[in-house]
Amino acid sequence: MTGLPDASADAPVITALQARPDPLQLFCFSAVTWNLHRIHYDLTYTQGTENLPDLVVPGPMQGAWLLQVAATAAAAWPGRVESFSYRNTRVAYVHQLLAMEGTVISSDGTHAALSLWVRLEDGTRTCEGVARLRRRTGAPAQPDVASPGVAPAGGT
Amino acid sequence: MASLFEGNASEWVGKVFTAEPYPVTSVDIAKFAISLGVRDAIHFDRAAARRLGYPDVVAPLGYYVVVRLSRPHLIDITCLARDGTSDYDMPPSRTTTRMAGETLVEFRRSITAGDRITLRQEITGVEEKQGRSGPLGVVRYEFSYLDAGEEEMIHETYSRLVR
Repeated sequence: MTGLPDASADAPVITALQARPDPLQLFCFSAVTWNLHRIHYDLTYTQGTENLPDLVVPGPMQGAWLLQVAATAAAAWPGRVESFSYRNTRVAYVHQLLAMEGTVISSDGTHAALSLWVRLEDGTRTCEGVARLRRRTGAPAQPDVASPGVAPAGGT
Repeated sequence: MASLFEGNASEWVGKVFTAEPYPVTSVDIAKFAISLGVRDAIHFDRAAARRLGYPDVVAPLGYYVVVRLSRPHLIDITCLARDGTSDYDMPPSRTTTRMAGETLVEFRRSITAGDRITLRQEITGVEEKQGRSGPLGVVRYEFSYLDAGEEEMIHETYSRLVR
C-alpha cells in the first residue's frame, strides 16, 4: 500500500505534530470548547486549591491533536478516519513540549489501524489511542458520505 | 466502604439529556483550529473546502468536543462548582475530583459550517470500583451527534471518573 508505512515491527514512527502549549493557547482552547475547569487557565486556583504545579493541558486537546495526526495519515493513504479511541494516562502541563506520534499496527489494504500517543521529552506518554482508518475507494462505503457535496470525515 | 455517590446512583442509568441544536459556524471552526495551531486552509477558506467537495469549511475531527461541552453546559455561572465544572449529568458525589476516562468516537461524516447538531446523551452505567489509588466512581455515557435530518454524524462512548 502507499501513503502509510508498512505494519511491520520496524515500521517508522509517524511524527506529525509537535506543540508546546502556553497559557494563551490553553485559554483559547478552553474558551472555544467551553471547558470551564479552572485547572486549564487559572494558575492561582490550580496551585493553591488543587495543589498542582502548573496549568493542565486539557485531555480533549491532546485527543484532538492525535486526531490531526490520524487525519493527515488517512488523507495521504488515501482514506478516512472511521473511529478513534483514547485515554489520558498522565497529566501534561503548560509549556511542556508534546510530541504527537504514531505507528501502523495493522493494515490489509482496506483498513488500517494506527497506534497514537502524546509523548513528553522524557519519554512519558500522557495520552494513548488507536485510530481505525478505511481506505477511500471510488464508491464511498457509507450512504451519507456519498451525498453530493459531502466529503468523507477524516479527509483533512 | 462509603459510597462515592450520594443516594441511589443507579437510578441515573438510562437518563437521557437532549440539548438544543448547536449551530456550527465558520467562525467557531476557525477558533477551534487556531486554538490547536492547525493551519489547513479547509478550516478557514470556503473555496478551498469546496474544491475538495465539502459544502463549507470543515471542522477538525476533534471539534465534536465543542458540541459536547458547550450547549449542555450553558448554565448560569453562579451554578458552576468552585472548580468551574458543572455536574448536571452525573449522580451527586461526595468527592470533587473529576477526570475523563476512555473515549471512543466513531465518525460517520464530517462536521462543516452550517450544520445544526443535536446532542443526545444517555447515561449507560454507574459503578464503583477499587482503583490503584483508592475508590473510583465511573459514569458511562453514550452520545449521539445528530444532524438536522436526525442522521447520526458521530457516535461517542465516554466515561467520567470520580475520585
